[in-house]
Amino acid sequence: MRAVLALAVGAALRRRLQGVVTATVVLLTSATTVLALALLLASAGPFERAFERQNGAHATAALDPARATSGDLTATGSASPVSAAAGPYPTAEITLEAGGTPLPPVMAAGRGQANPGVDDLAVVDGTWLTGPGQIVLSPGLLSGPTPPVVGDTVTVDLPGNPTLTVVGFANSITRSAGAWVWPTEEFLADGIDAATGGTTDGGTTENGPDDGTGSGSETVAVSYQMLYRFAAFDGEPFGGDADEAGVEAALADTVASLPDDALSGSSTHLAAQRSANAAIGTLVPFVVAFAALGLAMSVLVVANVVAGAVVAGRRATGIQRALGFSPAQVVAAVVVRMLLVAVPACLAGVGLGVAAAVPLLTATASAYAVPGSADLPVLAPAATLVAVPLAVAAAALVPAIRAGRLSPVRALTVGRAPAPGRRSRPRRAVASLPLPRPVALGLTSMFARPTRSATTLVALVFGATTAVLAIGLASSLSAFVAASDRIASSPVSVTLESFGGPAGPGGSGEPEGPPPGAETGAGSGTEVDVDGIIATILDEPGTAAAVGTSDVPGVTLVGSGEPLGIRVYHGDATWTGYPILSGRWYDDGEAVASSRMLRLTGTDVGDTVTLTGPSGTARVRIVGEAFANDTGGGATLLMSAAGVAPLAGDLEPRSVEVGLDPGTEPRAYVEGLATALSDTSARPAATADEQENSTVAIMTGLIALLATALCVGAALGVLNTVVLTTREQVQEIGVLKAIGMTPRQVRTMVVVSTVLVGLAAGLVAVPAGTALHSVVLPAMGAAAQSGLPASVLDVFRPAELAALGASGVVLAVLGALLPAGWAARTRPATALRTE
Amino acid sequence: MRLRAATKRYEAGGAPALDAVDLTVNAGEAVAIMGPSGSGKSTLLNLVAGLDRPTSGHVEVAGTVLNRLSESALSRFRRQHVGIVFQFFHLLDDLSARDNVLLPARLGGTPPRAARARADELLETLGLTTRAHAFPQQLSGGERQRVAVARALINRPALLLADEPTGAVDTKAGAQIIDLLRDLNSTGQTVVLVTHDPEVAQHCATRTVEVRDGRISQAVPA
Repeated sequence: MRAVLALAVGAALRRRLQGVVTATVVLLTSATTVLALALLLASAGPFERAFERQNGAHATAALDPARATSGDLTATGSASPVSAAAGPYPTAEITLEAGGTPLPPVMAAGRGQANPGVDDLAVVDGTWLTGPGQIVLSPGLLSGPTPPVVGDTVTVDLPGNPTLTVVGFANSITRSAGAWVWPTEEFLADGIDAATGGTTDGGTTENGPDDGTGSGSETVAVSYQMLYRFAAFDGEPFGGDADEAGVEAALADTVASLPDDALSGSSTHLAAQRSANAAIGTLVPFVVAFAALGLAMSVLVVANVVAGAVVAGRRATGIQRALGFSPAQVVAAVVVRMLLVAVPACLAGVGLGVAAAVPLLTATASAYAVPGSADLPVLAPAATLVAVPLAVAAAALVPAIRAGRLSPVRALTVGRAPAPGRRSRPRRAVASLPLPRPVALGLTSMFARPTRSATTLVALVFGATTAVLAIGLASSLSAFVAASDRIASSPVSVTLESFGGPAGPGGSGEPEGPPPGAETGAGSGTEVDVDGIIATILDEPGTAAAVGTSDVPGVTLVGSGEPLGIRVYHGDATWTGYPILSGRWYDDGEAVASSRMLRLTGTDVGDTVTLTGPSGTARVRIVGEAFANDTGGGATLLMSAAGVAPLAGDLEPRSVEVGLDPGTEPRAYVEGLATALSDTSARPAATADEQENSTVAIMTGLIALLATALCVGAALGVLNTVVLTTREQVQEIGVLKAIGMTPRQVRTMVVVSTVLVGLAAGLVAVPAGTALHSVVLPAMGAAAQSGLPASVLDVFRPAELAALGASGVVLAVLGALLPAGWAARTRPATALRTE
Repeated sequence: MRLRAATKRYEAGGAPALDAVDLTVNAGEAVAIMGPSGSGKSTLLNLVAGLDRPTSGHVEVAGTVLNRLSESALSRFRRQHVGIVFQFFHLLDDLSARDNVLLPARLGGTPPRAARARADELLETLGLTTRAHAFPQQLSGGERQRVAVARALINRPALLLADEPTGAVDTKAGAQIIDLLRDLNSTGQTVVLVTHDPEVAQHCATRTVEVRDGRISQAVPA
């Protein structure tokens, strides 16, 4: 055993170049494996894991303070279905201004504790509240041109314009609110007073007595929020008997002691899960595809490198056998030698992977918009520490056993070069081609070791496929954003301010909102001259079209529990640019449905559905399916104002979508329009300004990072192959130099030796990458319960595909450059002396 | 070919493999360099061929001072002025005998027709016409060495270097190689060969140089 160990240590120390290549590959493989596993684990139910970690609420209830006191509500926490409760928290929908720019409307909750045991908040930046005058925001408000940061002051758009200091950012897993203030914040207290007449609520809120100091003449509409966890769902919140009806029944039992109609709205953790997973679902298939590619290539590259290193040492094996080592001792020496290099490299690689995984998981967590999922799963580095050395040992074992069985004479004579008689016809055919000799000689190298070439080919196919997939995904994401924002058709929106927050394309980016059925806040009802504003817009040079829009929340589809949103157009909207996936645009009394609406409700184009809205019911025929992603990605119908009148009465537009003449620059146009509308309360904005899509930016970054890691792995596989081949052919290179081959010709020969493999890889990778793209994209759409327009799916053009076909060659050449330089620099006398 | 105080050390401060050697070989000479293993004879051959550089001193071949040339220029120099025959032939297994012979001409950009004519002429001279399309694995040791000689001569070098040219062939083939080298020298080809076989030196060379411990210990007419 001592002899075996001495042999292994000696070989590991002597074969430094091989050791460096093997260590580098194992290091990168380990790092990639940690990343891939971490991503896979992070993508497995991120919402569900975060829900458990943060004691998410099974039910979020909105309650009318005029019907129930805070004391009554606190008492509901003792109801039999309840295992834990938090609240009551006064809540109100408010609009904040940061640096003079209005932020999207947000549900603010008055809450003193970040972690009350139900709906524990993940504070991701800054600190939690310590008293009045402070606010903690959801990171969802970070988008926009001037996102607030910790330390900023924001103004509440209420009479007196109270100001609050941003002290932190936090996430609620069920999005119970988008902002949190101290429970006794004056505008909330005023709202409670207004709702109760200043006398009804004799109880206390969670954090102290209601001081009842409100005195404003105009107050914000306030309701109470209660957060419940139910014993029935504590064990299996997302499986077993957990369904919407069960949660609602538990909630009904819980609030049974309250007066009728005290419960003004509620939402369940299952609805939050559906909503979160619709967003996460778009990411998971792509992350899984990249991670799986990374794992497959890691195994392949390690096997290629280790097997190549063992084969290259066959001559030494022959010497060992001649000296009396048994086949088993030879095998043991080889495996131990590889492990001596691989284990430290694996440790370093895991460290590197952990360091890289933290920001990557943070980015993924941001993309998933699930707090806390940035934690690195311990399983990822632990599994890598076991799996990679095992893979190295396994990869070394097979060629080591073959080498051990080889007779000493044969190992000594043929160990360094391909055996006699292995000259293949293709190799000779290539060699006789009328090409410059360095090129022809380089091409023949591909056939010298067909198995090694095949392994390299597979590694390159993985790398090039990744490159094709990455470019396809990046193009699809750009097309996705363009189709979602409808930037081409409707690049400008004008918010009609008196109706609150922005709407229309780009205006509804804030995901936090009131629970279904909750009060929707302070529509002040100020008269706006919509017709006059639209006329001004139409008069503005560069305007091609303009149409007013409004949204109708709280519409339900009879026979389905799925809440619907209706985007209403007050005029011709055929030009607004929604990609129609099937059917046609609506006429009055008809609707175009978002993909998600059709999938969630099980309806189809051509069906007639019955809708119930605030003003009544209506039967509406669905005549088309649209990619309507800017409406919050939910179940949405697009309808005309006339068509929606039976449901919601006469509506006024809340915003105006504007189409521009070709060649009109949106930002310059907006500046001009702002001047024209300066004496109104309307605010124009370019859609692209508002729709800073952070998810897409994160995904693009992820694509770049993962694709780079995989391409580097592929290039390293080539580097290893070329290093091994070049070292085996060192005497041949010496002879060629001796008979007059220049260093440049040597470099050309070595680089060309990889070109055919690279070309073949490119030819395989293009159809493989496009096929994978055509699988991943629809999977992303299906996970998000949405169809995708052709502009998102068909992103590859023939010229691009031809260029992508060269990606295999590029990777191969990059991998070959280093050993080619080494071969070119080697002095012929040194090469000829090398054994 | 002229060496002046040519010294080669493989390790700084170590013993020289070649120690301040002075040697001149005139055009048309056939010089055998002899000596025991490790004496420095192959190092001397490498310096003359431009395969390696002297640590100090001066190496001049066919009017070119090799010390000053870049690696690329050395390659071109070897291609144009030096032909090398190795002990173990070092033919490329994937090329036929004819393509092996053509290789230096093709590397140097000789027009294909002229190169092919020259190769066929050499193959005929060396009795290999019928074996022109055979691959090295299909050739005998003597045939391989003759192909190697043809390859060394394809660019009409001023200097033919041979390193133990009979060391890897049987006696009969060795005799053929000796005759071949002698015939080449008789046509005016300058030949420098390294050998440890006095018989080879006696039959091939007009002068013998003995190297021992990196120094020329004896230079006598053969």
